[in-house]
Amino acid sequence: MSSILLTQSVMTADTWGIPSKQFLKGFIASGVIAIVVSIFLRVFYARAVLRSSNSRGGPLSPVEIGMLLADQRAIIASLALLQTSGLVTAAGVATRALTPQERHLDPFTRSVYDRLVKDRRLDVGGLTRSLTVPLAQLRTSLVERGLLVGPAYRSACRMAAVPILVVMAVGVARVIAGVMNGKSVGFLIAILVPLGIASWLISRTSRRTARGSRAVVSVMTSNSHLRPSRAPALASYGSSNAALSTALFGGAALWLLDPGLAGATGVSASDGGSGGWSSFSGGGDSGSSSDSSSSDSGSSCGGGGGCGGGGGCGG
Amino acid sequence: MTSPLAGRGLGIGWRPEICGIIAQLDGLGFCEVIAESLPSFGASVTIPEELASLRNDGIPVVPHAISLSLGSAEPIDHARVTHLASCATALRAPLISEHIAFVRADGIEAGHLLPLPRTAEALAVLTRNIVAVQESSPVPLAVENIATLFDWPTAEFTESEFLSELIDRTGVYLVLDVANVYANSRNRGLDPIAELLRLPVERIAYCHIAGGSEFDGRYHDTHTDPVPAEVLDMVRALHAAHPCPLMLELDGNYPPAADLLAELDGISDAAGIARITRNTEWSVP
Repeated sequence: MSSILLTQSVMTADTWGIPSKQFLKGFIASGVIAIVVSIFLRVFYARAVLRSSNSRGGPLSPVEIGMLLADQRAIIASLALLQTSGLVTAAGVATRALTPQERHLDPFTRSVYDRLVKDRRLDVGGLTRSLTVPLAQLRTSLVERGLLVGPAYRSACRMAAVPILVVMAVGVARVIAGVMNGKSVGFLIAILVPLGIASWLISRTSRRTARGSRAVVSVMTSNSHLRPSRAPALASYGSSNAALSTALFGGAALWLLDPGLAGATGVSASDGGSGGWSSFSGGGDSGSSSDSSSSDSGSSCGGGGGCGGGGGCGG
Repeated sequence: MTSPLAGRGLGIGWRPEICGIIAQLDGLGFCEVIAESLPSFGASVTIPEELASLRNDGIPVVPHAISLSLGSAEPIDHARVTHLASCATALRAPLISEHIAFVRADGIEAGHLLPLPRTAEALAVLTRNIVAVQESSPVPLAVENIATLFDWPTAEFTESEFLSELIDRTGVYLVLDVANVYANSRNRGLDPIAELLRLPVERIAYCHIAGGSEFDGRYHDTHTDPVPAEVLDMVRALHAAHPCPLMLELDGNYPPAADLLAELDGISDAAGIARITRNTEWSVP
């Protein structure tokens, strides 16, 4: 009889001597505090890393803007610079001596050119794989300017999640102890899941820092006329703007600039997005005939049309 | 009668392909957009943000139609007129414009601006259609002379008489396409400046100036070539006789920005008005 009572007593004893309800209350409170502390640490660490970076520097070049979006964008922007300089066409790569103006091409574009001369292959995928060192140099320079996420920033973000991880570790230990104690642990697991998600959100990093993203938004906003949906006359805008269009808007812009070259490089014409940048889209202004005030609208005028008379009567 | 664009100097045809260059022009007098290129849903017209920006900066934007077919014998398509009127309202335009031409007949689309016979019958049709557009539009209408490679054999009026009569009957304004007058005169062996000054220039709302080139022995108003010196001479003569707003019209094969600015400067200099190209990123210091 006494052994049965003892067994029941053991079976109903609170894990770690703390009643479930009381533990859950304390655990939720700890979790909330940990999330707040982690967010604070993330902001604090990120700012500290950015403060230590060199925020000065000249305006970003098209190649650098491309690099902020994707490695391939940097290469496409370089190809656009080389194309508008007459150094590369769909037919191949020019091996003539560079003019003084061309010698002022940025080091990364010179590396792309040298690789093209050496390999005689234009495909962007191959260039991305073979230009590891120039890409790393370009990436490092942007990390040092606090625009791309580097190891220090990434490590700081991971460190920021430590308070949540500590609370989670306690929770996991309690789950294990609870299971061994024959207790229900469903509620505790239900709390651990959002904590895990919060930890992942706080420790994860994107390609760019907030400063880098702001730089991209700024350039995109002030260069909306270079969007492929506007069918920009890139030859009219000049070399740098053509490269900027390809940096910002990818393969679709390169197809506009030189379909032959774009085909040879293997870039997709549907690469008209913004390299993982989802918040920017073509804008327009809807004017109503009954109300001349306007509001943002989705699409915009694509084709220009016109009334030039090619073969017959001109308007 | 004074043009709704009086004193607006030099403008340009707004095209999305070069809108980033247009945005940098300082002192741009006005611009013109192809009305059919602006999509609409009901009475709501979608205006590209770069064009809306110009409008919001107080630069007049004229919707220019190419498909009303004012010269068609059948009644004017109400939906097309409604779209043009909606464009005018959305753009807060001071006027709208179309061509003195027909582009369809009996349901067949020509896909091109075709000339009208200069007859009393054609004049009556044109008058009826222009009045219909004027009654539906919140702003005045201006109509443009076109370039033609042939004349109908039954002309009862000269071009000047035809236009003057049309203006008397409808009160319509004139978009005088100087390059079209040049093309027509050159292809017929006439003096372009004399032909230009015969037209009712006092009713000009604004002028189109465009480039062209000769092939197969005929000059074509392509809008894709540089403006010939002879057209600039016509601008000079016109401005001396009757100063009016001028507009460069390009429709493709866009030149490098510096060349485009030089085209604009050529027109400014010919007319003796201020240049609008000084402060762009492509301007030569």
